[in-house]
Amino acid sequence: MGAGWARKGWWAIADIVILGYALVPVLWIVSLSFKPLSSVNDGRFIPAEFTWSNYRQIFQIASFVSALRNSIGIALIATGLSVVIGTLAAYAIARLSFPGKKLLVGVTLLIAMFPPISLVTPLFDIERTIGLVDTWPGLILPYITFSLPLAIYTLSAFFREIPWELEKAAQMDGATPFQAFHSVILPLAAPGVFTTAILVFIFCWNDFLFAVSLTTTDASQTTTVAIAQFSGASEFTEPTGSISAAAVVLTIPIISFVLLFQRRIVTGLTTGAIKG
Amino acid sequence: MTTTAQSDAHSAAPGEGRCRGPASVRARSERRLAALLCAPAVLVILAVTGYPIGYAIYLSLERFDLRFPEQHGFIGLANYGAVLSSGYWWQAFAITVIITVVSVAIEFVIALALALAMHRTIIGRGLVRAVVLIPYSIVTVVASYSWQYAWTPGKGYLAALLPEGVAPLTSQVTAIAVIVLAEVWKTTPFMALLLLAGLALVPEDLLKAAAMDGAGPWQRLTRVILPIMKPAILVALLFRTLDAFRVFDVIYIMTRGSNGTESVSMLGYDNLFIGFNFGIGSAISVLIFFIVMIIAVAFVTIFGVAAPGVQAQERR
Amino acid sequence: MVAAIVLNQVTKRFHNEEPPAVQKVDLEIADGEFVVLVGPSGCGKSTTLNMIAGLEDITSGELRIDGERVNEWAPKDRNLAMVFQSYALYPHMTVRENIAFPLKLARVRRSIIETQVVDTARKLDLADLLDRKPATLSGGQRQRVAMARAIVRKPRAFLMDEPLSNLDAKLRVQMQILVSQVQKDQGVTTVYVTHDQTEAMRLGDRVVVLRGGVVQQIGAPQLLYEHPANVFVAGFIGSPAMNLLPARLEHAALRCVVGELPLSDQMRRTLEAAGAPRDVILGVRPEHFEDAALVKPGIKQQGVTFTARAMMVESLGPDKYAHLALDGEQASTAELERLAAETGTADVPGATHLVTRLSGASAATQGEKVHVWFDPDHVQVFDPADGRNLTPAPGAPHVTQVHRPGTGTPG
Repeated sequence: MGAGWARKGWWAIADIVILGYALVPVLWIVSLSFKPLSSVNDGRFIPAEFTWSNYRQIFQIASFVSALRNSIGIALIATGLSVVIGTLAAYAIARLSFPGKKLLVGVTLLIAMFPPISLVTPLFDIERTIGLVDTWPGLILPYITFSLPLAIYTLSAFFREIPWELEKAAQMDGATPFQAFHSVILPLAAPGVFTTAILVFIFCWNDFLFAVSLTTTDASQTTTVAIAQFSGASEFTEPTGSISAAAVVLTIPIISFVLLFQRRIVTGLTTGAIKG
Repeated sequence: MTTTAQSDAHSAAPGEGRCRGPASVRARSERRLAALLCAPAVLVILAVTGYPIGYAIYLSLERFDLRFPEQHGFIGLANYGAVLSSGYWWQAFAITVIITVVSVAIEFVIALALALAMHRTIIGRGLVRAVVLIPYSIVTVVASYSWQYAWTPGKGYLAALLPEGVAPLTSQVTAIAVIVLAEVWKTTPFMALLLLAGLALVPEDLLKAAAMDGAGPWQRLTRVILPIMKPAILVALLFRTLDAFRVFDVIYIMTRGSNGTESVSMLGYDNLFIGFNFGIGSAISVLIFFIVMIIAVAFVTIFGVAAPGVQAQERR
Repeated sequence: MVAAIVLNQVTKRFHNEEPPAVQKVDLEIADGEFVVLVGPSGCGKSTTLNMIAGLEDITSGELRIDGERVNEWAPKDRNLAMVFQSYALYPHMTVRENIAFPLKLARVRRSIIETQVVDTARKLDLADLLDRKPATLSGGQRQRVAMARAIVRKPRAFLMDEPLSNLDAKLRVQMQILVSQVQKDQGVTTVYVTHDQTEAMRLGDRVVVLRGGVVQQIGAPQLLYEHPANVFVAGFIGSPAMNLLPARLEHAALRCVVGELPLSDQMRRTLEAAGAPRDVILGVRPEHFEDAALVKPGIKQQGVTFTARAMMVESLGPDKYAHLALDGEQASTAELERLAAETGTADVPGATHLVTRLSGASAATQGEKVHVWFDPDHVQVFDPADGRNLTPAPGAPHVTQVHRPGTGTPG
C-alpha cells in the first residue's frame, strides 16, 4: 500500500503544480479586479479589501458596453458562417476525390501559417476603398478566412472518423447523396461541428491584431481593443482596476464554456492531430 | 495492391482508385459536387487573402507614405533595400528569432511534461485536462495584462518577489525574458494537446516490453516514447514556431515595443499604423511572409513533416 | 426464364492496372438461388459484389438484372439490399429507425412502415430490441438488425459481404443457419461473399471460387469437392486440405512416394486424352485414407497400402488425424508454391507430409509407424504446369464453367 500512496502523492503534487500554473494568472486578474483604487498598487496577491466598484464602473462606460456587443455579435456571426462553409469543404475533402484536392488542403494550411500582419496592411487598404473599415463585415470576413483552416482541419478529421460503410449502406438503402449527408453523416458529425464552433469562437473572441487594425470607433471595436484603450474613470486615475474588471468579464464566459465542454475540445484537438 | 477495398470500415471512398481514363458519370458528378462544396471556402479565402497578398507585394514596391502623399510612385525594390539595411529591422529580427527559439524550446519541454501528466495522472484527470485549457482560452490581451501587472513594481505580486525597484519591463533583456514567459504560459497547453495526441499512439505493450528488458523511466522516455512521437513532435514544433515568429499581441500589451522589445510584427505595425508609411510597412510584411514560408518549407523538406490533411489522404 | 442477375465478361481495373482486379467474370444467377463467392483475400470477390451493388464502376462487360443492363444505374435504383461485414448500422438511430430507414427513403406511408418493421423484427427475433441503439447490442443482434434492414424492403436480391466474419465461431454457425432460413423463407436471390470455404459449402446452392480476379470454378458444393477443376480449387475446398504429391506417369501406373497406383484403362485413356505430361501432381483427400489394420482384406487389395511414421496424431473423438512423414523427394512445383503463398499455408500438405483422417478406432500413435491404406479411385491428377485437373468429372451436369487458373498476383 505504501507504493500506492506514494504514487498518488506525487501525482497530487504534480496536479497542484499544474493547477497553479494555469490558474495563478487568472486568479491574479480576478484579484486585481476586486481591489479598490486605494490598494491597487499594494502588490498583494489577495486583496486587502474587496469592492465591486470596478465592475460597476466599466459597465457605465459606453464604449465598453458597445465593445461587448460588437464582440459577441461579430464572433457569433463569424463562427456560424465559418462552420457552415467549413463543413461543406471539409466533407468534400474527407469523402470525395477530385483533382487539386492536395493543392487546396496545402493552400488552406499555408494560410493558417501566415502572419496576419502581412495581410493587415493591404486588407486595411482594400477595406478602406470599399468602405468596410470599422464595420462588422469588415472584421467578420477576415475572421472567417483565418478560422477556416482550423475549422476545415478539425471537421475533416471528424468526417474521416465516420465509417465509410455507413454512407454505402445509405446508398444501398436508397438515399441520394444529399439524403445520406443529411440523415446519416451530419448527425454523426454533430460533436465535431460543435467542437469546431467552440474553437472558432475562441479564435474570433480572442483576436486582437485584426480588431486593432481594422476598426477605428466603437461602431465595431471589439472588447480586446477596448481593454487596450482603457484609460480609467478620468485622465489621472489608474486604469488597472477597470482593465482587470473588463478582463474578467471577457474571460469568465469563455472559461465556463471551455470547462463545461473540455472533454469535447480535447477530443477534437487530439483527434484531428492523431489523424494528421 | 488489395482489391477488396471495401472490407474494412475506413476503406477507400469509391472515388479513390478510379482510373484516369474516360471519367465515368459517377466520377464526374463527384467532382462537380466537390467543386460546389469547396467553392464558398475557396472564394472567401481567395477574396480575403489573394488580392491582399498581391496588393501587399505591389505596395511594397511603391513609395507610399501618407505623410508625403505627393511622393507616391513606383520605386522597385528600394523599400526592401531600406528595410534590410536598417538597424531597426535587424534588431527586430534578432529579437523575434530569440523569442521564437527560446519560447519554443521551453514550451516543448513543459508541454511534454504536461502531456505525460495528462496522459498518466491517476487522480483528477478530468480536472487537470480542463484546467490546462484555460490558458488557451484566455484572451491573449487579458493574459498579457495579467502578466504586465504582475511584473510592475509596486503593483504586482511577482515584482514584489524581486529586489526593490527592479522593473523587468523597462530593460531589454529582462523584458524579453518576461515576454517569453508570458508567451510560453499561454501557448504551452495547445502544444501539450498536440503532443498528447502523439503520446496516445505509443502502444502500451511496447513500454511494458521495454520495462521487461530493463529500461528505466528515462530510457523508456528517450528511446521508446520520443522516437514514436516524432511525427507529432514535428507537427507541434512547426505550428508553434510559425506562431511564435508572428508574436504581436503579447508585446503590444506588455511593452508597446519599447525598450528594445520590438518584434518584426511590431515593427510592421508601427510603420503601417503609426508611421503611415505603407511602402515600408508592406515591405516588412512581405519579408515576414517569406521568412515564414521558408521556415515551413524547411520543416517540411528537412524534417519531413507532412501537412496533416495531405498525409491522411495518402492513407486512404 | 430470365436469370435474375447476369454478369457477362465483367472486368474491373483500378488505375489501368494489369492484371485487372476482376477479370472477365461470367456468371448467371437464377431467381431465388443462393450463390457464394469465395476465395482468399485479394481475389476480387468483394469487388465483384460491389460492382453488382453499384458501389464500384464496371470497367468493361455487362451487368444485367432481370434482363436489363444496369451498368450505369446508381445503387439506389437497382433495388438490391446489402449486408456489410461491419453491419453498418446507423449508430444514432434506434433499431426501429434503422430498419425503417430504407422505407422512409422510399416514402412509404408511416402506418405501413410501422407494420412492416414490426413484422420483420419479429421474424428475426428482434421485437424486444426495437427501441435500443446499436451500441447496446451484441454482435449477433447487430447482424440480425442489418439483415432486417435488408429484408424489409423486399429487394430484388440480397448482397452479403462477409457478414459473419466478425462473429465468434459458435455464433457464426447459428447465424449461418439463420441466414439460410431467411433466404429460403423469402425466396430472394442472394449473392454472398466469404473467405471461409466451409461457410461457402454450407450455404451455397452454387459456389464460385475466385483467385486473383479470375473465376476458377463454378458449381454445386459437392461438385467442387469431388471434381475440383484445378489444383487451387482442390487445395482450397475441403478441410483439412487435399494432399498434393508429385507423381510420375508410367505405363499403367502412377508412381509416387507412397507407392505405385495401378491405373484403370478408362483412367489411362482419360489422362492420355487430356495430354498429361510424365510428371504430374497427385491429389488425395485426407478422408480417403484409412488405417490398413481396420480395412477389410478384400477391399484392401483394391487399394494401395504403405507404411509411414506418424509425426503427429490428433485425436478428435470419432476421427484421428495422422500427419505422416514422407521420405523421398520434397519436390514442389511453382504452382504449388504459389498456392502455398496465397492460401497462407507454410507448405501444402504433400511436399513433406501427408494428412490422413483415420477412424478413431485406429491404433496410430505419435512417433510410431502406421500402416495406411487408400483407394486410388478417389485420386485426382493435376498438370503441374498450369494446375488443371486432368481427370475431370464424367458428364459433369453442374459445371457451368471451368477456367484455367490465371496468373493473378495474390493480394
